[in-house]
Amino acid sequence: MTEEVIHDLRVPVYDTRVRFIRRNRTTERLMGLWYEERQQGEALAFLRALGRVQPKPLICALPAEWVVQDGA
Amino acid sequence: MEHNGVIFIAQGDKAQEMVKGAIAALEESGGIGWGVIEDLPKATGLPGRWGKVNLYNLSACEQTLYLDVDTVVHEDVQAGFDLLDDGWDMVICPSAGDWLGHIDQAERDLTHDELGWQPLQLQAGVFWFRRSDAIRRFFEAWREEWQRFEGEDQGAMLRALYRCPVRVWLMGRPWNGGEAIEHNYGALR
Repeated sequence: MTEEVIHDLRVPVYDTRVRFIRRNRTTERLMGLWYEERQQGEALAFLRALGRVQPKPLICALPAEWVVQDGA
Repeated sequence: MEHNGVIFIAQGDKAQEMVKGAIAALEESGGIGWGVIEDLPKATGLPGRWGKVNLYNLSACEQTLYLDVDTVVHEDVQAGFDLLDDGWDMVICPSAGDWLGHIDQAERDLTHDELGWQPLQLQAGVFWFRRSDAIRRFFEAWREEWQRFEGEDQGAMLRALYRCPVRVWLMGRPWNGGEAIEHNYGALR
């Protein structure tokens, strides 16, 4: 299901516990799709929402150290 | 203009020898077209980097996969092009380990100071990009930032992305230094 949307599963998975979001039409669509996708399973829902949303948002991925000590 | 294609930069005898192996592996993995840039006018700095920051002008494709000559492709690279078709401007892998540890201390400090924080480091030896205004502006900024030191390219890439953000999709390590695209880091040095 997820691979159909994002083409390859060998990708980093975002830790969505910390996120900064600027409100605009694209991010509102993204949040709506994320909510929809969570009904199909939470773990990869954000990736599926990113795969579906149009236009694509600008994302600045943060290093893992922002949420996990030593980035482990 | 071709829709998808692969480009290598092979400056110097060793790179031109190495690229033969990279091309052979790419051809075994699928039927995608490729090109090699060997002669670069006004090339300065570390070999290959001037070409890399000029890729937007050097590529003849709508969507391009850039590969270092010390990479070995083991799988079809179509997934990256599909992601560009979906609307992402660039597809690239993050880099783990010592932040910009391979670049000059002065440039590392400048990058940290100008950005104001330590962003995710990206691996610039394998990446897909498409033609768009945003990507054109990014490459212009990358070229300008690289010319400040004319050394490695990753610090300049981070500063350029800060100035001219593009829509980036992150791939995992298998795509740069793993099962899909092997990367023999440092083999050219």
